[in-house]
Parts: sequence; structure tokens; C-alpha cells
Amino acid sequence: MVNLPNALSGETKIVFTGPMGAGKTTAICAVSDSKTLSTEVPMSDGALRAKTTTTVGFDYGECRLDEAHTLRLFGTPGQERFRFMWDILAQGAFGLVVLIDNTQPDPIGDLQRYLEAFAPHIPRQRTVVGIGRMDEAPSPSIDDYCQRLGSIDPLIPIIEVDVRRPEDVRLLLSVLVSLVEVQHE
Amino acid sequence: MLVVGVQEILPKDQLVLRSLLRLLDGRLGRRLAFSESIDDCDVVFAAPGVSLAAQSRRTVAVRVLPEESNPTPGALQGLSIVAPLRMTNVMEALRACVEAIRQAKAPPGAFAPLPGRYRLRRWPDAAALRQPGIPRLAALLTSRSFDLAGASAASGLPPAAVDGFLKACLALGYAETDEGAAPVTPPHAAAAALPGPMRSVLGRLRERLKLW
Repeated sequence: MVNLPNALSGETKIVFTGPMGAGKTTAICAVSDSKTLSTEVPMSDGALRAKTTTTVGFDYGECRLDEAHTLRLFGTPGQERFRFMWDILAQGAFGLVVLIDNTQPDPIGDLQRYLEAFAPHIPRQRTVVGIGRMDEAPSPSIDDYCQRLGSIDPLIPIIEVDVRRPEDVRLLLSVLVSLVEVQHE
Repeated sequence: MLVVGVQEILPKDQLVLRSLLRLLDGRLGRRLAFSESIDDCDVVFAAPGVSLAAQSRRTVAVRVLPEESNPTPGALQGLSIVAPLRMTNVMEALRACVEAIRQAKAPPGAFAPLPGRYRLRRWPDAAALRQPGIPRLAALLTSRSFDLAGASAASGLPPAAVDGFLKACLALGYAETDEGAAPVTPPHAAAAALPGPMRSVLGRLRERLKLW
């Protein structure tokens, strides 16, 4: 079921999750009205490509829909040691966007971990997955993801994106909104 | 089999194209091969303004435009792609070529709507989902099976657009027939219809973020 209490009270929450460096902060900035709240600190393990900071609390952005309704966008910290935050942020969420960095050693395993972690809070029917950096690392392919995830849910949307492009973030949200709409028709 | 060649495009673009053909071989519903001989090619990636050495019975030309170019829609005849060549834009171009070849082979004026019921086995890729209405159509077809008229009515897309989408998905192995399926039964039938306020919020969300 859609988390109606929040939606009907004027707040609709979408959670962006995924490993460190997958682009959660960038994606939230792309669709937020104004400056986002971010709790980034310098990375203690050294820089990851051009990335020198990482989120330790959460990212937060807003998109005002009208006088009464606001879309709230939350980005989870990527590191497993902040996992307690994932459960807190997922409470009452309307949908989940999982962002994966395809240059990481085991991106499909990363995706499986995030799907499993959020399944108790947000149904898979309201989850969309964006795979980034496929230009740098074409393997595993989208087909590979679909095959490996077939046993979990073969119908999760898995889409190649570059979240630096706002239209790609809007593509993920277009799919998420379509998923919710058709569940209730 | 789709045989691809090049004519007068930059060496670096040729190298990228060859690599991508190897990576994409078999993943677009067809085997892909590169050929030095234009006569053998179904598709030729060519520089703008270059006339193809072999305008054969079925060769489709894809014009490779310079990186800084910003072509206005309709300014170019046929297919084009803006450098640099990437997995996404090459896939999109090759799919368009497959469709162009399919249409060229069809008898003139023939529009044979797909009979039967269909559903998606998996989601289509980003290139297809960028078209207005396709995310909703794909969401419908992953949730349950539809015939052409039903999918058109539920998605709001014209029957020809749904037909084209379904045929492309069938060719790529993303869709399957669902003959003998029961009449439309949502998988979450127990779920109540989306309440009016929530539908209204989704509508505002679509409008505010210009979702499609």
C-alpha cells in the first residue's frame, strides 16, 4: 500500500539510496527547488575518483508541489556502518530509488543488499533502480542485472542513467510514479 | 544479423563503434558484425555530407555529427548521432536502424496490428523510456497482460505507438504473448483504488517535475 498518511497530510517522501559515490546527493540536487541540506564530511578513506566528501547523516531536498503539498527527497548515507539511518529514513516513504555505481567491484551484489535492506519498509513495486557509470564500465550489463535479480523480482525497473543529467533523474521518477499509478488501476 | 560499416568518420569513433558492436552483439535481438566492405553492410555510420559509396538496396545511413553540433529537429534527413559515440546513443541508433529495415521490408501501406495479449518480461531500456507515455505503458505491461486496444486505452497512447513498442519489445525478447490469460486482473487486486488526494498528488508531481 502507498504510505497514505504522509501523502494525505501534505508530505510525500522519496528515498534515494545506494553505495557511496553512486550519485544520491547529485540526484536530489537535480530535482530540488533550492539548496539542499547535506551532511557531507571529508572522506576518511581517501578520495573516490573526484569525490572527496561523503554523506554521513542524510541529504535532504524539497520540491514544492503546491501550497499544501511538498515532495521531500531524502538521501541515505551510503556506508553500511550508517545502516541504522536507512531504517529511519525509509519510514513512511512513498517510493525508493536505488542508485548503483557500475564501476564498483560487485555492483549487482550492492544492488541486492540495498533491495533486501529496504524491502521491509518500501515494497518492490515502488522501487526503481538507476545504474550509473556504464560508459566507464559496461559490464555487468542491464541484461546481467535482470538475470541475476530474476529470482528476487524480474520486473524491477533497472535503467541506465547519468544522474548528472536532471532529465535522467526525472526519468527515474517518471517510472516510479507510473508504477504507483498502475498498481491501483 | 546486422552488418555495420563506416565511411569517413574519425578513427577514434571507428574504434569505439567496433568495441561497442562486440559488446552489444546479440543484445539487441540480433547478431552484430563489422565489415570493411560497404557493399555488405546493412548500416553505415558516415560523416555528414559524405555520399555513401554503396547506396544498396537496404543500406541505412547514420550520420555521425560533430560533438559541438546541435541539429534542429527535422534539419537532417534520416538517422543521425552526435559524437562522441557511447553505448547509449549507439544502441538507440542501431534500434532505429533495425526498425527502419523492418519497415522497408514490410509491404507498402501494411499495418498489421498485433493480435493477442502481451506482457513485459522485463523493463525496456532508458532510450525507449525517454519517450512520452512509455514509462506508463511499460508499467502497465509489467503489471498484467493487455491486448493492443486495451493497452492503448489504459496508457492513452495511439494504437500504432503501442503496436510499435510491443513489436520492438518482442523482437528484443522483452515481451511475451500471454495467450489464454484471464481477463485483466491486477496483481494487487486487494489494494484499494488510489484515493483521490493521492492521485492528485501524483498529478501535481508529474506536472511540477515535468514527468512523462
